[in-house]
Amino acid sequence: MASTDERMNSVMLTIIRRRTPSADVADFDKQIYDLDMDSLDVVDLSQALEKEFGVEADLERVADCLTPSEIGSYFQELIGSP
Amino acid sequence: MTGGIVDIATATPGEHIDNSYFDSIGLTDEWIRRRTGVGARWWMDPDEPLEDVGALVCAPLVARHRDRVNITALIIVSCSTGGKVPGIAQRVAQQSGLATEVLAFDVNAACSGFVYGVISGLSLCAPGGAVIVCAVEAMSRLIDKTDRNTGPLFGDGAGAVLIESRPEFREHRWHAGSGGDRVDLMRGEIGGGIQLDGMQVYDRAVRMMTDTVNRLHDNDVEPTVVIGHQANSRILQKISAEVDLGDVEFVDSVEEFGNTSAASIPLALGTCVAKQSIPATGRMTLVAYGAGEAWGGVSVDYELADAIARRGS
Repeated sequence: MASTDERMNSVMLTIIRRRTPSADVADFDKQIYDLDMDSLDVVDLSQALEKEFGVEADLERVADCLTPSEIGSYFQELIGSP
Repeated sequence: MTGGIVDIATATPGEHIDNSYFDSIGLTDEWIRRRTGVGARWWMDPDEPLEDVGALVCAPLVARHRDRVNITALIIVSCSTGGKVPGIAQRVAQQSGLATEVLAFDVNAACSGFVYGVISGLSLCAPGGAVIVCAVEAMSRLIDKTDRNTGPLFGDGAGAVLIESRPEFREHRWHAGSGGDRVDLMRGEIGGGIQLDGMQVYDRAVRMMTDTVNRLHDNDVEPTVVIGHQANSRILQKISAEVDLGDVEFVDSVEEFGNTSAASIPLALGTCVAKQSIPATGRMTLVAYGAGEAWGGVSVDYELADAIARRGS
C-alpha cells in the first residue's frame, strides 16, 4: 500500500503536470506561479488532496501557500500522524 | 401531468466585444481564454431598456404559441434591472403581446435565476397551460471594465423558453439551496463593479453544482444534456469530470458569450438548438450556482423538434 507521502506526491504531480509536464517532486519547492499554475489550479489541487485523504481544507490557508511543498505540509497537518 | 420545455428564443443585441478590448489593461486573449474560456461577449447599448430586450425574446414565443395554448404566466429573471420599482415583467408582458390576465413578475436570484425561474414556472404550469421564463441580463452595466479580475468575464444577452404541460412529459425533479453566510463571495451593483472572490467561488461552484447534478441523477430517467451556468469553462469541465452520467452532452458556450448570469443557460440552449447539437427530444438537467449564495438544479423533459427545425433551416 502506498505511503501518505507517495499518495500526496502522486496527486500533486497529476495536477502540476497539467501545466508543467516535466515537473517532478524536486520542483515542489518552486513558487506555484513559476510552475505555470494559477489560482484555480491551486483550488483543483486542494480539492484533489481533500478527496484523496478525506479531509476538509481551509481554502484561505491553502491560498496563503507559496509552493506545493507548503500546501503538502498543510495537508500533512490535516491528515495527522499515521 | 407535468411541464417541459417546448420552445426557445434568444437575442444578443449590442456590440460584439472580443478579448482584444482588454489589451489596454494588460490582459491577452490567451490569458483570458486559459483562465476562463471566454473568447468574446456582447455588451448592450447602455441606454437599451431591458424590457425591450425581454420583449425581443418573449414576443416570438407569444406569437408562435398563443393561438394554441393558454400562456398564464411570465417570469422575468434578472439581476441587472437596477432594483427599481416596478420591475420589468409587466412591461415585457405588454410589449410581447400577452393578455392582461397573466401572472407576470420579476425574480432576482443572480446566476441561478434561470434555474429558479424554470422551477417556479413548472410549478405554475397547469394542464393545458404554458408559462414563459425569460432571462435578460446587462452585466456590462454592473462591471468595471477596467477591473482585471472581473472586467473580461461578463456579457449581456437574453433568452426565453416556453414551458408547456403535456401528457408525455415525465415528472421533473429539482433541488435548490442557499447560503446567506457567504453573501460576500460575490456582490455587485449597477455602476459599482462586481466584487468576486475567485478561488472561493470556483471552489463552491464546482462543489455545489456537482452535488446538485448528482442529487438530481435518476437512473430511470437519465439526462441527454446537461447545461450548467456558463460562468467559466473550467468550472464546467470540472463538473463534467466529477459526475458520472455516461453518454450525456455537457454544454459549454462560455467562449461565445462570457458569463451572462441568469441568461447564460438559455443562451447556451439556444446555441445547441441553432447548431442542432442535441437530440430534438429528451431530458435536460439545468444547474447553477451564484451570488447569494444561491444554487439549484432542475431535471426536465424537452421537446424542441420544431425549434431545431426552425433554427436549422
